[in-house]
Amino acid sequence: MRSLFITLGILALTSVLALADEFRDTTHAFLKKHCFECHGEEEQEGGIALHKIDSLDAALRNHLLIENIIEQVHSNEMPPDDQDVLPTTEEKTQVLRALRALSERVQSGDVTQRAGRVTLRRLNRNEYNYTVRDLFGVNFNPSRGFPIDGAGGEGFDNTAAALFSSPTLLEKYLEAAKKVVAQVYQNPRLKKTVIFARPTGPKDTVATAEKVLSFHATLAYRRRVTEDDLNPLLKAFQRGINTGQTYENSLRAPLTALLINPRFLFRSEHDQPGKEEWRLTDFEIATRLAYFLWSSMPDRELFRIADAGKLSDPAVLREQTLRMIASPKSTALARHFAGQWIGFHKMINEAEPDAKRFPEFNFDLRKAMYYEGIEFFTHLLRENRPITELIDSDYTFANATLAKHYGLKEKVTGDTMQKVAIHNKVRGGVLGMGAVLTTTSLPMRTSPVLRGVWILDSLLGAPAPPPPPDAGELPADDTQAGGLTFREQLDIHRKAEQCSGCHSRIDPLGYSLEHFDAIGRWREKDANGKPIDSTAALPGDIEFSSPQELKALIMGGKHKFARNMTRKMLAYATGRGLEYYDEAIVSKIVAKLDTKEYLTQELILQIVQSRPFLNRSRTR
Amino acid sequence: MANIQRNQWQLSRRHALRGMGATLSLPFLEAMRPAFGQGAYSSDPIRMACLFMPNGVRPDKWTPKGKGDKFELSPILSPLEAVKEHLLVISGLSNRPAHHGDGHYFKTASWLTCTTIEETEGSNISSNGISIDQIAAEAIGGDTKLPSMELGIEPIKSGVDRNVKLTRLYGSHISWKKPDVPLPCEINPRSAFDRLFRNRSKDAKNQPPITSDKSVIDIVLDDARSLKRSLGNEDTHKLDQYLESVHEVERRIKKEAQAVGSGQNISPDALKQLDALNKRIKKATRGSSDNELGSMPRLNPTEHARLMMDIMVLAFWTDSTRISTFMFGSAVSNKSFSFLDGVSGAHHSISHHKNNPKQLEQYQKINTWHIEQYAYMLQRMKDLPDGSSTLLDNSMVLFGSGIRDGNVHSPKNIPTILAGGAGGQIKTGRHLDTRNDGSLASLYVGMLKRLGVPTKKIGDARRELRGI
Repeated sequence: MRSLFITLGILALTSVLALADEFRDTTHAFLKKHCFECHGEEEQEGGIALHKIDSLDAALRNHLLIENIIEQVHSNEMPPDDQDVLPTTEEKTQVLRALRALSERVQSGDVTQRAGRVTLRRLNRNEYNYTVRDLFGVNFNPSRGFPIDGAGGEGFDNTAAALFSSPTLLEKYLEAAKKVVAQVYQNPRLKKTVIFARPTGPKDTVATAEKVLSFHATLAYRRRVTEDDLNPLLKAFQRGINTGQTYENSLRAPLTALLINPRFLFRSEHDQPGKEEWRLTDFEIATRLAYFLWSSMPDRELFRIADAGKLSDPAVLREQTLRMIASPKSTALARHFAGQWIGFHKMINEAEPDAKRFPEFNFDLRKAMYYEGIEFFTHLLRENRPITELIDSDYTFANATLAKHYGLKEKVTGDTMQKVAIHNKVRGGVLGMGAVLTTTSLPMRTSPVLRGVWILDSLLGAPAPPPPPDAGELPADDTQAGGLTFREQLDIHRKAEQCSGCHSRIDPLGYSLEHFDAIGRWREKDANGKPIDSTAALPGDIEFSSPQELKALIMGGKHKFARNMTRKMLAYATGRGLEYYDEAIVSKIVAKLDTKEYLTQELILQIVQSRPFLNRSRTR
Repeated sequence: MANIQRNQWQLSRRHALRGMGATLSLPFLEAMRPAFGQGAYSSDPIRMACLFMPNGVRPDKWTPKGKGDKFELSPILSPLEAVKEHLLVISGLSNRPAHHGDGHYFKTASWLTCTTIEETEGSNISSNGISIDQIAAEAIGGDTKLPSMELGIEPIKSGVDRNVKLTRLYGSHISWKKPDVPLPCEINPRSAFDRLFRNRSKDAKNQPPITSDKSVIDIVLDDARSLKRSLGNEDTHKLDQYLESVHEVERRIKKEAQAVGSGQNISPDALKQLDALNKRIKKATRGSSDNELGSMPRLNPTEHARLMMDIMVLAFWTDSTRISTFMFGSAVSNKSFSFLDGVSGAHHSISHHKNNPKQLEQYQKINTWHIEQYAYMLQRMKDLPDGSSTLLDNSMVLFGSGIRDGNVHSPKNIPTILAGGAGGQIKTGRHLDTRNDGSLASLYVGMLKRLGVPTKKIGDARRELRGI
């Protein structure tokens, strides 16, 4: 039956069962025969383990790996020529057809679709800061000493599954909560806002406390509070009163406790037993929206609308999203989404250019590079510019320090970041940003490899496979090149057969940026005084030799870029890694963007209105 | 627009410190002593520290010449000369369950668990085991203020290593309280010190008394049951992790209250040491600003490592904890070592030396720097009297890396040194060569036994390494 359906070309009718059959007979058989020896249970060369793909479901769950297999088999990279038994042309054609059919189904949504499921999400460090700021009006950074949150999924530190709790963290929460409340109590204005009601006498003391506490608990728990929620807080208040403390001081412990309560620290979403998938409540949507755009809690207006049950209305959702984007708080999306995706957040702690080699790299420059990224992305967001300006734009943001560092022609004065026109297009877009150029360099020198890998992975969503461990690295210092230019050394390295496959696709991308040094300055000569060679050629006779030409090249694949950015943003918005059923959603969004000039706000609106953002399913 | 938020991060030094002081305890040295001296322990308690170095070693300059008690320290180990008699250098160990898989992450997360980690970008993070420090902390940690400490000097790496499709979290965590609960290391010496000895930190003095920790924790515990009712399955699991942490903090608070109540005080000697350390931390962290870009202390690397080690040593000496881990860096750490003479470049890059003599030399210098810090810690412990001997005699201080030659990520014959006599239970001053046949896990079985924590099975080992 199966083969009949295929010959008749009515693939759409093929049942999942038949698909599973085909997987077993064609794909799994092929993998077993030709791949397991190096990528199976015994050995996992390059970290690739194909024996785990033993069912259709496993294949779907590893859909990115399937894409990788298609590419490897198609390009004859795998299985390698030195294998005893090589697949016949027919075997190859057959497995490629099966894998591509599967991939097309994933992309088009012709497989089981669901909203997905995110686990209980702890507020990460940044979210904690913004949330206490908005909750109690304090203006400091209480999570400063919190351990850095790990990340998972598409690489963001708001991935629920990668956020853990430990006793150390709890101690820090406790310290932070006390600091926050202490600041409230020390500031008469704040104290009056937080403790907004005072009892007139002993009779209404408890009722007044309840009023104050239920107000803050509602905000802190991001929903209507129940008696269960309030009882422990009121009991604690009562204990204070009973031990002779004042009304205000008795509120102190319960207010502090709000901030270490898991209902505050974790964002939970309700389950509906017996159902496969359900719509989130309005409060849950409000919370998702606020943490997506602001990394913080919903504000009063959003709460009000959620409480009135209006947020499910697409027009209202749209209106609220645009209102929130316009708010200064949406800078959080630039800082934490773009910061982690593009990597300029690494300027905070990780970037470490060698201090002896680059004494110019001081704190002011570090800061300016960081804020260039933030200002740029914020501009795209608020002014609704096309996302493709991340690749190519005729402006950037700089202050005097950065403009001088870049050698910009436009006159820029002062410390404040300002929009600056770029005429020659050397800068403009992330590829000309100091933050990107520095964080893709080593402490002493540039790394065309790292820059190439970054372009493939972060911009185009096509990460390169890992090098073999004994591949070696070039000297850390480019002044020790032993007569050869750095480029010449890299070329030698790249000629080794085991390296050339990948490096012929990676290095040229970085070569074209070689005029930027390891801290993003324009240069004509390398560290040994030899002229920079920035000529680059990719397989297929694609030649280019400057940042401008590289940008044009990437713009030629802007769909790929848009798809990658959409995937990243969907993952950030939902707090989980993407699953195969998300790919069809991404396809739809990218198709829509194509008709909407790739406008940034359109991307956000599409995500906010998507099935995974508004719904939750029983299984992952 | 960002100016608006930028201001939110600005904060005066005075502000940052406000509220740090609490109603907390005196650190207790002699306070705890009588109970242990005559109670659960017939002798002084044994302490255990596990120090992790990333990126392997230069193999030809690591292994000592000679075996047994007639051995010569290798070039990399030469800074240990003064404490040579306290060393058990062990050659030929392997962490077999971590042999395959990625060259760094698999070997880091499992260094103390001896398991095979779950290969994931983040959806189901698991070490598939509990690290030996946490096995110990669970068993004997209840006797001290902190069951265990996790320290380090490199910020945790966030993100996913898309190259090998693994969450970087695996490279930044060696302590696993549970298979799915990694414990992050504290890298700020100020926070680490204050956590242990907060009332010796002069900055924290003269604070108005504020809400007691206990009253706040009690409210959450009071709430716990209704909380659990309202959540789904996996969610309950995350919540359980949280509530267990709450219980642990509750326990710590009780311990501190007891210590305060007992009215006993810390020995003048220890006080002096604590104050001196506090001063050093103050000096080293001066100028670390409170704005967002200064959120991690940028310290001199050597002083940073030594401050953390001194905190460990004093925590052990005051019996505030008996278990600690320390990470010199994360897997694949590309920390710049240009601060060393004759080294220019980053750790991981240099470790892939391709047998280039110049790079090998630099690799060796980086390895040696790590050993110098280890030697510093051992010397400090040797100088501190503890019961009838010294702190070093009553401890086990493990130093190691998850791989041998960083150039090829070789997982066999990994660099391992155990220092200290574990209260006379280990004959030190030896080079134990297991002839490439030893299981790292079997060493751990032996170490835990000497801590008074007999364990039936760790990783691939069911009995202790022969010859400890």
